[in-house]
Amino acid sequence: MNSTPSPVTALLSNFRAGDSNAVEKLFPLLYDELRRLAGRYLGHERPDHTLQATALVHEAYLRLVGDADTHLENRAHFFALAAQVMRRLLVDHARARKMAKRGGGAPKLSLDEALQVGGGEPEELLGLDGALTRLTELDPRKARIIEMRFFGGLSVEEAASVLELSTATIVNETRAARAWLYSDLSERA
Amino acid sequence: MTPETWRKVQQLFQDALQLQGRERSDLLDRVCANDASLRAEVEKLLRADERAGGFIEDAIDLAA
Repeated sequence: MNSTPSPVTALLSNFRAGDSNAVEKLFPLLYDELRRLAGRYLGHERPDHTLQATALVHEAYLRLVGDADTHLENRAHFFALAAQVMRRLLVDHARARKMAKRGGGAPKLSLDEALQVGGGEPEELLGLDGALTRLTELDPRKARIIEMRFFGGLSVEEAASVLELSTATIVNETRAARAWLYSDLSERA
Repeated sequence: MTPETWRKVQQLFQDALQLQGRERSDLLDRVCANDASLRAEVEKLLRADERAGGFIEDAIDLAA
């Protein structure tokens, strides 16, 4: 790996310092990288191993940042942002798949199924995305925690580091958010 | 739901999770004596927590 910090590393430092322009530059970079990695994976019709979103995000981190940046907070922030990007990528993919299903030409393997974040039906992932957006209106912090942990594979410790909260709070918030989302989706089913 | 109500719901949900059976219903009786809608909201979340099964949990490590 590179021994010099990558451009992404510099953007991450700016992002962490509160530079919103850095996010606007990072988001498309991450989107392209994750889409490329996911596409390569989906290209195999019958993958011989499962790949989780968290593994994809880790691979993107190694490719874009490398192992030169040992700053743990940068790493956690990268994962938090990657979680947002993964959510967008999965939603875009599910919408496209829903359209393709209507036309009878849906791909054999869906991205959420491949990444083990959903049951493979686009409606399921889109439903969760909608519920998460409603949770954001009620309680943005809980929605953010679910986004980071579910779509980005952040551990309790990583989520605690990004949000500057205790690990106990992350555990409690995750459980309450899960109950709220489940209840919201049940009422709409 | 107002932020204040939501805050109360959250607190009571977390407290109730620590208790079971009679102790849990005693807590809800006490705290929600004059607030049936608070009780309904908390019970809805408690039911969802019990029924959620592998929902989301399969993809993340819920405990730690």
